[in-house]
Amino acid sequence: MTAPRTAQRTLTRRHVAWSSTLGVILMVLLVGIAWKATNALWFLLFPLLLVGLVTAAATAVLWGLRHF
Amino acid sequence: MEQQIERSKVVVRWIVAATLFGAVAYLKRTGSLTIPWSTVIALTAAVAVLNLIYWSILRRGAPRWLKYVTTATDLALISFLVLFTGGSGSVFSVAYYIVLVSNSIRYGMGMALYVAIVYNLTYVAMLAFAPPAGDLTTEAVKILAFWGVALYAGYLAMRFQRYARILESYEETIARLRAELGGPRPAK
Repeated sequence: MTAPRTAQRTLTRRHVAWSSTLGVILMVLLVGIAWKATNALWFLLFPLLLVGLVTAAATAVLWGLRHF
Repeated sequence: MEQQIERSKVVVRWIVAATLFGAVAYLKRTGSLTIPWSTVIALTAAVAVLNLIYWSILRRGAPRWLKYVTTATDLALISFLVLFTGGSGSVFSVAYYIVLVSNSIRYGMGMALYVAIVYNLTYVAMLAFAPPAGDLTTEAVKILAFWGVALYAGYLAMRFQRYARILESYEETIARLRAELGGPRPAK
């Protein structure tokens, strides 16, 4: 007799907490660079920061909506 | 499909290039711009040559890499135009948005992100060559605003593509049902 299969969550609360924390750190970095940068080359980090931030925000929102 | 899209981009590129050439010539005549004629001619010739190359490639078909190359060269040429017409204060900065909207509506979120990344790189390169006089925060806000428009345009394009797919499946279902109903009836 096999044990009944339970639905396995692909994303746990811990994952979401970590990614949200990372998202907040990325946002602080983004605002800090935009506000205080003295050299335009710092803006080259924007794609990394923004993509990370949007991914973290999307993960948190979708998890909140019980998508995962 | 992609061949058709790229062909239409070639036509739009001719129109935009002619419009920008006219605008530069007018502003130069009124004394608002100090860009030398040699630079204007060189930029226009670069657009024309690239457009002819793209057209000749498109006669045989549309390779997968072509859309990325055409978009990157468009953004690079606009960055040169912006650089030579006043840097960050240039009136031609809005041309970046033409490339963004035209590509993200046609290709979706992936292309919107690609345009935003290439814009980010080319605009920063332009700022490095012609640093603005004032605070850099304004430039950061411009880049972030472009990212905002890119993400929103990409999201809208994604939704539009989803509705188009749903509509296509409905059309297929209707066609299948019509064929079933119109087919030969079994003999009684």
